Amino acid sequence: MTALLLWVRLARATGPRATDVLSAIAFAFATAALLAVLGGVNAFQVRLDEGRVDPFDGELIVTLALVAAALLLPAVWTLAQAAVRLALARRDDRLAALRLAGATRGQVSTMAVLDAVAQALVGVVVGAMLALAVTPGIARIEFQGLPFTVAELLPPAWIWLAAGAAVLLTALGAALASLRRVHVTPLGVAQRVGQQGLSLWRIVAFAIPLGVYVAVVALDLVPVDVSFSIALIAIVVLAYSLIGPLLIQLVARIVARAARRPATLLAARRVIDDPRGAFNIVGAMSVAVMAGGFASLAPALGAADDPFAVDIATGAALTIAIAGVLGAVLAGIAQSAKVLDQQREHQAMHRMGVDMPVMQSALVRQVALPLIVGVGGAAGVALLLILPSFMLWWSSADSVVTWALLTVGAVAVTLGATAAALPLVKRVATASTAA
Amino acid sequence: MHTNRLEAIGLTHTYGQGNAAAPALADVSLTIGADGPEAVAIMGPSGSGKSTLLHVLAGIVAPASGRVAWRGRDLASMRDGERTKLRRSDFGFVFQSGQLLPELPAIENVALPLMLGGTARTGAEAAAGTLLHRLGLGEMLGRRPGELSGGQAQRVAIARALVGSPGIVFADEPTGALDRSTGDAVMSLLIGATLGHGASLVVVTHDPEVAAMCSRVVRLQDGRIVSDERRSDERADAVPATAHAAPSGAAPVGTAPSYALPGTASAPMPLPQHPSYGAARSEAHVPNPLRDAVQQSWIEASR
Repeated sequence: MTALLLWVRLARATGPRATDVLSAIAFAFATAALLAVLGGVNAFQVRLDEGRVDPFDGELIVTLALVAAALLLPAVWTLAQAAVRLALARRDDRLAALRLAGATRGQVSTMAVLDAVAQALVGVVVGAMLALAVTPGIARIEFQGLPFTVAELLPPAWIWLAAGAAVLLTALGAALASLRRVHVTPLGVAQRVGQQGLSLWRIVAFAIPLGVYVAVVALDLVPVDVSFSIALIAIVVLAYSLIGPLLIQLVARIVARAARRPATLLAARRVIDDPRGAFNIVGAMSVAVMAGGFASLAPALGAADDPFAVDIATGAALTIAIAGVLGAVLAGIAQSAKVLDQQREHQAMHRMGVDMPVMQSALVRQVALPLIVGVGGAAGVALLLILPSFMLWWSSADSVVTWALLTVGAVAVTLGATAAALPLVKRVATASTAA
Repeated sequence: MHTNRLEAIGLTHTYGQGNAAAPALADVSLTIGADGPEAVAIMGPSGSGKSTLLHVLAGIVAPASGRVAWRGRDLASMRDGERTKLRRSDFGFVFQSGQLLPELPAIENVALPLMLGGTARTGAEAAAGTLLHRLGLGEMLGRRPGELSGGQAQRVAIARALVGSPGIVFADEPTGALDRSTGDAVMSLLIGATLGHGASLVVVTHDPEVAAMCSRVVRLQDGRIVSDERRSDERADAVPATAHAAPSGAAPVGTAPSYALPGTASAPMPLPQHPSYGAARSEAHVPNPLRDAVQQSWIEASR
């Protein structure tokens, strides 16, 4: 019997589970976010092609929209990874049983991949409908002195198909990557990977563009044009992704050492255990907040009614908002996946008398710590870098307040979304294993 | 009557509902620790209700009917939070595997129950460190469970079960994931250390050799107790000597009074000096070098 036939039979026999639904939701949000961002890029491109905007400003806006899309892509990837983890959650036993029954490793892997891709397919369809549903709302936003139209925001069909295919391929890639880490033997032996060590080269990789930025843009030692400055800022912002996990691990170590409460200790130790995973949840939001910090300077640098400067600030605000929504969904989904992954630990804690609020509090702190450090660090770096223009920046109160409010809002929404995983802690911890 | 008395009367429990209902326990009654600390093995074939009985006795699962009383107090009369606190303060747990928190180093795993009970972290870690040193894990304090061997991880689990000075320790197949010699050494240590702390031990096992090390064996079949045997004092008295001669052997261990070697004081093993340890067990601080030497030989054997 082929893996496909076996998969179909088992899928019919077991039916959908709660984790399958969560996984499909994650894929749906990833697809919708991707299509919304591509819709924006399409709208700017259409305006440029039809000659409705100044060619120089139009090209720059398209470039900036692509940069914003690039900032959000890691969040889409992480969301897809979390979705795959949910898709494969608690399948280890079933896969191990199949191996015992004589299924080859290839057949078992194919079935696991089919699980993930099937849920991604459902997510892509739902996500496409979600993107269509929110397009009229996005059309109300004004850019380049003109409100969007729904037609502008709907890219050609091939882009929709390509976006869907990209999400499916992401699911496939993430599933294969997960299977490489989890070697399913007939005995279902679970191996725990060691603690992740982060190399100090990350500091150097962040310090170099930072140093160039300070020398070239802040101190104006070398005269460069605007596009070079923007490119440099983009590199600094993206380089934050390298130092972010290290920063989070460093702070988590300090917190773990000083922790007085069990929940704080548990959360800090879990973050130290997987700093990359912790940063992945908050990474997109962090870089969006950092980019937003720079962008909030634009209205102050331009004339009061300069539409280009206003567009940059609006685009940055929109990017933070989308990153916030993605971050919130990601936090809820990723924490749910973690709770399921850590089912045995939660059951052990319940049996040994760990109070449910302690377990739940640890889960929230596990997100709050990287969120505050990651986003707070990004905002801090942005503030530090625009320090030379601080008074100027401060004079543009509207964009500063918008940036600050969006940042606080994104953090709050993400923490709120984490609460979605809390009931799961109780369900998982109190699930009976006796026989 | 001994204070650390666990009494179960007429326990029944069923999994599933309607036609699919499968009885796991049927009118089970037993008393543990009535005359002082004892090591009780619960044996039976797969599906006989061993683990269910352990979970019901420990207040993890509520029975369909019947009553479990700890120190005279019905567990069903407690709120869920009270039972959780009881499991933390009065009970200790050792399971087959996966019970230690993988992110925490050994010392924090052991200190956690005390911290949960409100002990300051420095005090909790001091007590955990003392106990881990006593169990021969002084070099492993900063190691995480993934960096320990199976036997070492189980010794950390034993330390965590005992650190709160429980009145009873529940163990579910504690040697199931270990090889024979390591398993025997861990079992010897578990029985010795638990009884030495003045606590009773309830161990669920398939393994007759593990059961042979206990002072009492309760056998279950189809959710019913089919036998409840206590070992004779003579056999029990011979235990430590046998264990000393062959540390990894499956020698029976008697109840607390017979825990010490013949001809020595029958005082329990000294407890770590920590404020959370109950004054009721202050007699536990009586030193006993000979017994400690036996204990040390078990520790050596489990390395």
